[in-house]
Amino acid sequence: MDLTEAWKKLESDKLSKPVAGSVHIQKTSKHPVQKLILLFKVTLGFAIFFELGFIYLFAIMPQLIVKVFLVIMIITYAFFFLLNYKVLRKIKHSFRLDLSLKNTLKQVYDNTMSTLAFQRKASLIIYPLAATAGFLMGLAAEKDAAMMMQKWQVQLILLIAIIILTPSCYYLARWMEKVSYGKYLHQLRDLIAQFDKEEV
Amino acid sequence: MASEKEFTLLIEQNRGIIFKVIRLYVNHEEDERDLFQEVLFQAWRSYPNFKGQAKFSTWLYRVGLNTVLTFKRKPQLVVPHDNLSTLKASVEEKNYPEETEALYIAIRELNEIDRMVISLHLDGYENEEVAEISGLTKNNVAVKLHRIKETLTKKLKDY
Repeated sequence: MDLTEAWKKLESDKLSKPVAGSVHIQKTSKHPVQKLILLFKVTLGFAIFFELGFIYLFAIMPQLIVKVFLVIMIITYAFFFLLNYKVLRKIKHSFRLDLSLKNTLKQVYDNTMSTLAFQRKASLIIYPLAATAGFLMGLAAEKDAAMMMQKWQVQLILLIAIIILTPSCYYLARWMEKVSYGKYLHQLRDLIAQFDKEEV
Repeated sequence: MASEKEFTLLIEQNRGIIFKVIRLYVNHEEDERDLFQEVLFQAWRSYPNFKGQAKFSTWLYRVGLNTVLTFKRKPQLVVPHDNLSTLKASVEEKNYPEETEALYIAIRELNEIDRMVISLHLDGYENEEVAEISGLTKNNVAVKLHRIKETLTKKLKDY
């Protein structure tokens, strides 16, 4: 069988069969990297929302210890907002599907991995701080938070809350990450390995 | 700003390339529809970078392959006769010749990178162009092609 001839037949018999859908450019994408970009934008939106919330709470909360923690939260969120924005710009700039396949695969894989790793690291700092700020605000609603925090029982409760909440949230996020991106990353790794295997 | 009308016209003229790339990698109806729209979206997004150094068809082939291979695809449907050894028994139900189906199955049995290399080659692209599209070296493309052709010929000869 002549391959070129058979290919021509295959093209006309099977490969050129139209796929459903008209030539209409949609404004949304289902590409995983495009979804990551959207996720970053949503995260940035939430960061602004929380910053405004913290500023409002700072203005209305009378107790100094709560204000100090709110300032820490405001600074932390501002820092992560800037980092998120930097990573988002990098991904948006480097995500191109009109370059060679090998480069594209490596870039998409690296971008996805570094984004997920960044979110994981950020969460390890955000969760304990958020738990502490929430705890203090809860105390301040009823009593003098600074006084209450001097009791070892209260400190212990806060410590236990942090010890339980931080790893739980971290591993829950990792599990969700695995469900959402696990198979996809495996697919990309397989393709990159096919390239690398040939070059040894 | 690139004209949407001009872009749509170019896509209309070359949309067979998109169909071909999708059919080479996907046999899941929902994925096919999603990927068709996704390739259009990505091509439109990248169109301002198209400077005309390559032909539009070559550029679209590249965007199509990159999009399909970096898309989160569903597990592919396994057709009962999707194997050369069981093809003969079921091919009478098809409207197209046995050898066409045999080549299609043989190509689908290759790994995804090999599938890309052989389809570009059989479409008449020079090794240098295949290397540019894939990111492989020219020598690597030549070696791969030799091996893929041997594999395909052997499979189809047995058939």
